[in-house]
Amino acid sequence: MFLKFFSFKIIVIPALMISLFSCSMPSEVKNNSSEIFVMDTMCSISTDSKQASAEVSSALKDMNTAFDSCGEKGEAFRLNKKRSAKCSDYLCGLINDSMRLSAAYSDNVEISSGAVTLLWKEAGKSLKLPKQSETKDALASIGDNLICTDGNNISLSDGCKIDTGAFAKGYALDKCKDILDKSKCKSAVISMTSSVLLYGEKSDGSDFNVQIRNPDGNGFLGTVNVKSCFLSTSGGYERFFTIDGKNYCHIIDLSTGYPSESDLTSVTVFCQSGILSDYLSTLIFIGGTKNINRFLSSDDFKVAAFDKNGKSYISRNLDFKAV
Amino acid sequence: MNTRFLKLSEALIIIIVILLCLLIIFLRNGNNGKSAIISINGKTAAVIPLSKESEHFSVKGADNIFFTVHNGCIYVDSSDCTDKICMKTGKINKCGESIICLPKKVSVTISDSTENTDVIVG
Repeated sequence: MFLKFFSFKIIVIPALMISLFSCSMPSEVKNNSSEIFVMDTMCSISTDSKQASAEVSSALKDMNTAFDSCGEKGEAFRLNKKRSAKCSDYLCGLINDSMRLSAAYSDNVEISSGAVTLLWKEAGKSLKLPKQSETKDALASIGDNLICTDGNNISLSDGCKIDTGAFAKGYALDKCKDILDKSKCKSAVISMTSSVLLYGEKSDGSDFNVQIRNPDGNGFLGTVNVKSCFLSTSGGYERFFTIDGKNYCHIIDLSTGYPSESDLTSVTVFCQSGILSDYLSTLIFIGGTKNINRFLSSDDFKVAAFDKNGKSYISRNLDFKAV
Repeated sequence: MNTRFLKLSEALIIIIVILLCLLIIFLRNGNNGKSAIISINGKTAAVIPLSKESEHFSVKGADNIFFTVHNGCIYVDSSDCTDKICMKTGKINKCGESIICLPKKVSVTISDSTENTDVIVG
């Protein structure tokens, strides 16, 4: 009988401890978390594999240089200056993928729009509006047909400049996913503030919980439960500048050549491609409420959008809960 | 021979083990989900999980002010501002607590709205 009790204790007590300890393990991947500043934002990388985190971080730093169209060291900046150059696989891949999307969906968002977008970036810094003639000239040098690719050689004709802004983060996350696919990583969250990769499955099997920040800075618009996917948000958020009391958004409407006056305030797109989510969030944002309905019923992506009056536009099958 | 299923002493041992486990859970999960939201000029500049081991960092847009996350608390460890109120506030870790640096327009608030949240977008 003593032996029986003894074995009972030996089995039950450790079992109890193990079960309780396992409950106390955090359900999310938090063990290998790091933050780096790339692409004008803070990027946080959380994976369950130290090596995968390091590889992702190093790739992101390389892409940061490749896609930079504002800094002297940026590869895109140099291409804009030299007009023709042999480019890295990263920059070539980004340019090719973005041109494919603009051709498939709409040329309202194009990587060849640098002449206009960089003009407005300059305006945001100097706080002086560009002249009408400048905007008009810049609009004439937009068009993906002005970009000529031959293998890794890229040349730009006329005044065409590339601005990677509407595609870079999403494409970078696509590349991060490729790295994770090859690694032992089972679960990861890579967040570049406005674009996010939710990778694999959480250890407890539950969906990822995403909170969409309120553009006015006060809390959240709502939460979304999703399985692994890419998501990107476009909105006014903090990136705007004021001239003569008027706020100018950082997203440029290529149909007018002026900062978007969209009546939407925040658009988040969920899908299985990073670059598509990044591109579509910008496209839908610029389109405003009058064009939004046709985006809400797609099988390829899901949308959660909000307008100035607080009205929400949510795709069917998206598990969204308003705050 | 005692025919009871559990002796008093055995029951006691099991209870102690359970309490120990609960204590460990409490210590490990005490700060899970809590985040420090660092804002510059009223706009969120960074959301730092307090579950981090220990970290000394600065935030883009806020020059010469340094934060440290340690033991589930966050504090400003150095700043070149005039009044140093941010440093004097010391460590914070409770939901709703805040550190404000007026000269730099920087604020740090603790939020647990991120509980169960995997990511914040926007």
